[in-house]
This record gives sequence, C-alpha cells and structure tokens, in this order.
Amino acid sequence: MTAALEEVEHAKEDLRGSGLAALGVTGEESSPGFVSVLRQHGAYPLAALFLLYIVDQFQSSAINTLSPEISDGLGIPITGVAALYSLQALMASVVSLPVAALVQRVPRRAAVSIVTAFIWAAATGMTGFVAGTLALALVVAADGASSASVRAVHPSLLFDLYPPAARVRVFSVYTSAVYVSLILAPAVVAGLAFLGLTWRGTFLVMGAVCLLVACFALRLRDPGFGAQDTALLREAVRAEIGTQVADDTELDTDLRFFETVRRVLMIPTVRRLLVAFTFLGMFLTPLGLFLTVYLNDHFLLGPAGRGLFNSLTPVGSIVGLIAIARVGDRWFHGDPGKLMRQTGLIMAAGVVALAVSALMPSLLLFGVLVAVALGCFAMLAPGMLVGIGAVIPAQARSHVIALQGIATFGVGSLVGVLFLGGLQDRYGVGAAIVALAAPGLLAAALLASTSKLVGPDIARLVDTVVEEEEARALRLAGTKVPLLAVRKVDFAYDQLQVLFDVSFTLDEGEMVALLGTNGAGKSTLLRVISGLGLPSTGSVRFNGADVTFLDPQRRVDLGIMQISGGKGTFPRLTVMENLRAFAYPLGRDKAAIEAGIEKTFEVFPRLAERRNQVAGTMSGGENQMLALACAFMVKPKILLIDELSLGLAPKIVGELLDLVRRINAEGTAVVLVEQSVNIALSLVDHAYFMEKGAIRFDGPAGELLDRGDLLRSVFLEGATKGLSR
Amino acid sequence: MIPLARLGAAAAALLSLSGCAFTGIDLVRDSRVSIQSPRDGETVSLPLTVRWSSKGAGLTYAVFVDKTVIKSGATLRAVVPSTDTECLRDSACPDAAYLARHSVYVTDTTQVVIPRILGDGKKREAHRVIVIILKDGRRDGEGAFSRTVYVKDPS
Repeated sequence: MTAALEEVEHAKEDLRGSGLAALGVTGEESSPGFVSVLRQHGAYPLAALFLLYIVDQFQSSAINTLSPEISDGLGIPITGVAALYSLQALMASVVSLPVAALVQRVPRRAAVSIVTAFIWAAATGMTGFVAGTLALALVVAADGASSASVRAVHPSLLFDLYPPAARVRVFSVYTSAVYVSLILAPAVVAGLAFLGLTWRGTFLVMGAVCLLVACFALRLRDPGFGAQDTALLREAVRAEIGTQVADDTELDTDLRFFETVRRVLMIPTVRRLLVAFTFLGMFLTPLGLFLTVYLNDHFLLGPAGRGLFNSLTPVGSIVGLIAIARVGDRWFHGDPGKLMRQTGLIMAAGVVALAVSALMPSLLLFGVLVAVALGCFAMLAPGMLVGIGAVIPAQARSHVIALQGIATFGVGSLVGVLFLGGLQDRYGVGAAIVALAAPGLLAAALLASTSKLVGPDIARLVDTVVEEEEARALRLAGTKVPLLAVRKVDFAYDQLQVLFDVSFTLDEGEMVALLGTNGAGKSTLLRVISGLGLPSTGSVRFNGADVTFLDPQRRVDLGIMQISGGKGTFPRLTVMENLRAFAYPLGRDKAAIEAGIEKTFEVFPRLAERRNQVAGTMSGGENQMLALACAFMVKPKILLIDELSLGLAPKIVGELLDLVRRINAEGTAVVLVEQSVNIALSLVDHAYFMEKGAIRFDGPAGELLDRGDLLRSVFLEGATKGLSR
Repeated sequence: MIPLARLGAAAAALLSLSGCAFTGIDLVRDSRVSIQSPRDGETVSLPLTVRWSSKGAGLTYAVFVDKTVIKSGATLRAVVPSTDTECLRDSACPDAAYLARHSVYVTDTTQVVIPRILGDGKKREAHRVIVIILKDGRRDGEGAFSRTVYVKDPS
C-alpha cells in the first residue's frame, strides 16, 4: 500500500513539467500568434462576450450621463439618481457570489450569460418606462444583478474557451470592452439626443441594442470546466499512466459552494491578491470622483470640458491594454511570477504618474500624466486575471473572481470613499489625489509580491490533478488504497505553522497510536483529518477520494468521527439526548435510532442506568464512556480519539480501553492520540511519533519502544510534570 | 435554468406592479421651449435674466433654481415642504412670493429675472436653472429645459 503512495509521489514529480506546460508555464518567453489562436479556437465566443460586456455597461453609463434629465423628467433629486447608479454597482458585486454558486450547481455558464443578457436588455429597455423612483430602483437593481454574470461567469468561460498560450491577449481584448463602452455609450446617448430622443427613448433604443447583442450571443456554448488546461492535463496524466477514461463516481467529492470558497482562500496567491484588490478598490474608486472635482476646481472645467477629458482618457487605457497584450503572455509562459512582478511595477509607475499629475500647473501636462496612469491601471486587469486564474481549479474561478469584485468594489471602495473623502474635505482634492498614492503603492507592492507565490501555487494545482488521476488509476486497477491517507500536510494557525509536511496512513480496521509531546501537533492533525482545520498544503484522502476541503459534517456522513479529549459530549444534554444528537448520521428512522440506542445501552450498562442524567454532572470517565458509546452506536469507519486517558484514574482508563478495543473489533479503524506511551502501545501494533509538528517515527509499536531518543522527551515531560506537582 | 426563468418572471411582474408606465410617456424630446440665454456653462452675474422662446400659446412656466422639479402632473403645492403645515392648510398657498423664497419662479411670459441664488461661498459656483411647462396649474409632460451657469461673485 505504501508502494502505491510512493508511486503517486513519483508520478507527481515526473508529470510536473508536462503539467505546468498544460497550464501554460513552458519556461520559454514565446507564444503563438493571436490570429492563429483565434482561428483554431474561434473568434466568435470572444466577440460575443466582448459585445455583451460593452452593452452590459449601457444602462449604468446612460444613467450616469443622463442623470440630470432623469431627475428633471421624473422629479426626483439628482442625488437619488446617483445613489441608484451606486446601487447598480453594488448589486453587480453582491450578486456575483450567488451567480458563482449557481454555475457551480448548474454548470451552464454560456446559458447563464445569455439569459442574464436578456434580463439586462429588458431592464435597460424598461428603464424608459419607469414612472417613479421605486420602478427605477427595481430596473437598476435587476440590471445590476444580471450584470453579475459578467463578473462571475465571463472570465471563467474565457479561461475555458481559449488556451493559456493566449490568455493575456484574450483578456486584454475582453477588458478593452470597458473602455470602448466608456467612449461608445456617451456617444450613443449624444447621437440619440441629437436625433431628438428623450432619456426614455434613449434607454429604449439601448435596450433594443442589448437585445440584438444577446441574440448574437445565442450560439455561445460552455466548453466545460478546465477545457483548456486542467482537462488537458488530466488527459495527459491518463495517457501517461495508461488509465482508461472512465467515470469513477465513487471518487468524486465535489465541493459545495462554501467549501470551494474556503478552499480557494487557502491558496496563498489568492489570499494575497484579495488584500491587494482591497487596496486597489480604496485607490481606484475615489479616483474618478477626485479627478472630476480636481478638473472642476483647479482647471475650472465645466461639464463639456470634463466630458471631453473623460472621453479622451480611455484612449490611454486602450493603449495600455495593447501594450500588455504584446508582452503579457510571453511573461507568463516564461515565468508566471514575472507577469505578477511586472504588473505590480506597472501599477506603481501609474500611481507615481498620478501623484505627480496633481502637481502639474497646466491642463495638458495633467492630462498626459493622467492618461499614462490610467493606461498603466488598465494593464492590471489581464495580468491579475490570468495570474489568479492559473492557481485555482477551473470550477472555482467564478468564486474567486466574485470575491475579487467584493474585495475591490465592496470593501475597498467603501473604505476608500470614507477615508480619502475625509482627507479631501480637510486638505483639498489635490492633496487627496497625492494621498491616493498610499493605498495605490501598497496594492502594487502586494501584487508584485505574489510573484513568489504564484509559481508554487500553480505547481500545487498540477500536483493535485496528478494525485487525483493517480488515485483514480489505482482504484480502477483494483489496487488497495489506504482508508485514510494524509499526504504532505502543512497547517498553520494564522502565521504560526504547526504541521510540517506530515504524512500519515490508516488501513481499514487498523488501530494506530499517535504519540508525542505536548504541542507536537497531534490534536491539530486530528483536526485536519476531521475537517475542523484546513491545511495550507497537502491532501487528506478517504478511501482514495479527496476530502481535504470537505466540511466536517460531510466527513461525519462519510464515516469520520472525532472524540475530543474531555469535551466529547454536550454537557447540558442528558445521556439519552446526547445519543440521539450523535445519531443523526443514522438517518431519520426514529425506530432504528431508538433500537441503536438500546443496543448501545446493552454494551454500556452504566450509561443505561444514567440515561436521564445530564452529561455535565457525570464524572470525566463517564463522559468519555458516553463519547465512546456515541461512536459505538454510529459505527464510523474511522474514529479519532484525542487524549482518552486525560485526567482519569487507571482503573477507568482500563475500562475505556476495553471499549475502544470492542469498537475496533466491530470494524472501526481507530487513531488514538495519547501522551501516555504505555497506554497507547498496549493497544496498537503501529505507532506514529510527532515532534515539533513533524512525524519523527512511523513504524511498528514495538520498535518505538527502542527509540529512547524520541521517548525521552515524553518521559522527561512526564517527569517534569510529576516534579511540578 | 428554471430558477432564472422564475426570477425573470417575478422581476417582470414586480416591475409592472411597481409603477412602470406604458402610456403617456415622452420618447421624443419636447421642443416647445428653447432657452435663449444664458448659454450652457456661461459665467453670469446677479440678477440673472433667463429668456426662452416658446412654440406653445397660453402656457405658464415655472423656473426652478438648484431645485428638484415637480413630477409630471403635479401642482406647485408639491414644492411646499411637508413640515410647512401652515402653508399646506391654506388653499391659496403657495403664492408667487412663497415660491420665489423657495427658488421657484412662475411666469406667463418667456423670461424671468432671478434676483438672488443661494450659494455655498465658493469663488465660482455652478448652478442649474430648469424651466418646466405648466398647464391648468399642473406640470405638463416631462419636458424640462435646463442650463448650468457659473455665478460670478455670488456674495
């Protein structure tokens, strides 16, 4: 069985190079021509999503441009219209997470994109028919909510529609839609106004345009998660190890929504980038407002002048996107870290250009520097998207991009407007623009610092896929795999790492002891196995299936149960109530549960006598007995027992150990965490010894007794405790 | 897809119940009034004279200065704050003087003189002047004709 696991480890190392290549990291700074990529993979999906992105901005852009006319037409304050503009952005941010959850449950991203496009087309058109604030708020909210698909679904689709070789260029084209829309939407509004349409007519026409684009997008199809990277990697691994393509559904442990969110938050690049996005939001959101006020106050530009300024600056952004498209893919292929580092440096350059612009005496110089800064900021999106998308499983990309939106436009924007708005009131808008440099430079530094994280994170993703495929291959080949396999687990409480590269296996029906000094990481390892703690790296497999990020309750359903030392029962419930509470994995058949409880009472007669006694009033030994009784009743496949003997008299410990033997004899594999070496080794054949967060011994229990170098620390600790008493 | 379809249907139902109007709305710009002066973005002095030409006959106009206009079909009583119970109890209120105190000027002619504009003390302040049409004492249509002006030395 160990040989099988070693085989998996070797396969990981052998396949890492080709795996990285499948994810786009070739080590060479070269990439295929964009036109040939479009010819091979089709230009239509990119064109459709690009157009959808443009028209998605129509309603918000038109509301922004036409807010005075809407205010005058409906007789509502202009501040109310501005608030609705914010509502649109808020809805798009907040709803993106539920949309991510939806596409995880119903993996039809193309269909979701199309349906939501029709909804926002209807909402845009309906804006022309609103008669009051409530109706306006509803169409704006509907538009914002349906726009959430753009944030949560489009990038995820693009990842799977186009190969890693061209992704920076694909995302450069796609994100340029924002700037095209910034130029196009006001031009369309102006053109329709020139033709004599009111704001209502304008929305109606824009709604019709959205409808046409939604119809154009009807041929979009979902290629499946990871179609251009992890699916290819899986195929490559299967070809390498000679696995027949087969659906081994027993191995599938699809993560649920919050499990997925927790999983991606364990990835260092994702965590660092989410903090960077928060600072980016603090920086970018007030920027537009400050620029408008600065143009008005400092250069005395009226609405027309500001409009002209605002319509010229997106040109700088488009130039920036062309620039990143030319080099970004090559950087990523050579070294993903380089893409992140260069993106951070570009952002820092943009922040400096912006801060210096506030010191410029002439409008021309100010405008040039602002255009340079905005060009630099436009270059961020493709690099960051490709970087963050490369380290996460394909199914989780929507989740991360939604989280990124919340970090940027939710948390970051709010903090930015509150703090920097106060600064503007006190020191003036020029000072506020200079002060923006602080969060801007911080975001740039954080972004650049991911250069050291992104490579290892991509390698870990490759390892995960290889391990999954290897496990599948072993299972299909009928090779016996361990009931529980913990592989190379690292775990940290915040910044304090307590487990280092821990590997641990348990076979069906086996009983092993996990020994070590206080603080060695034994209880933490049990927490990782039972799901109470998530490892920063490594995996936990149950019967070959990856359960590393499964919720604890789902692990209980699978058959993994933990008894915490001295805290294994509900102290305010009676014995009977405790047993009923622990019986939930048995299902809803009350008669079966009651029968199970009665059978348990036959084996634990002392508990039968105390069936109506509150657990908190019983002795420590009786509480441990109750916890074991719960385990006996549920019959888990794995029972994790943490410090069974803690503070108990030897006679009671003896009785409890008999019960543990009985549970094990009924087929439950047991992991016994003990500080008492004698107790543990009297019970098991195999033992692990942990010290300072690492496994120092893995072998027959008898051999451990010969390792004085290890056991001395335990005995010395016991002796010290004895002396102190 | 069923939840999305249901969501869409619910949204459509909500919209129609919440006050979307499908008749009597203006899709084409109201061209009955054209403001002659001041120009948009012009820097002006007080008192400010606003002039416009009109295609309609026998119309009344209300000029709102830095104030949200009344809704289509509403009377000028909508200008009265809900806290001013004295005025709301008086059927003759608001009169022209009351409205002027609240930055609203009513006229049957095609010009109005605005003697003062409340400012916020800045050197160069932007103000918005909006002309709407009244018919039988109620706002007629959604047409609103506006100019943004900068007032020189508002103090």
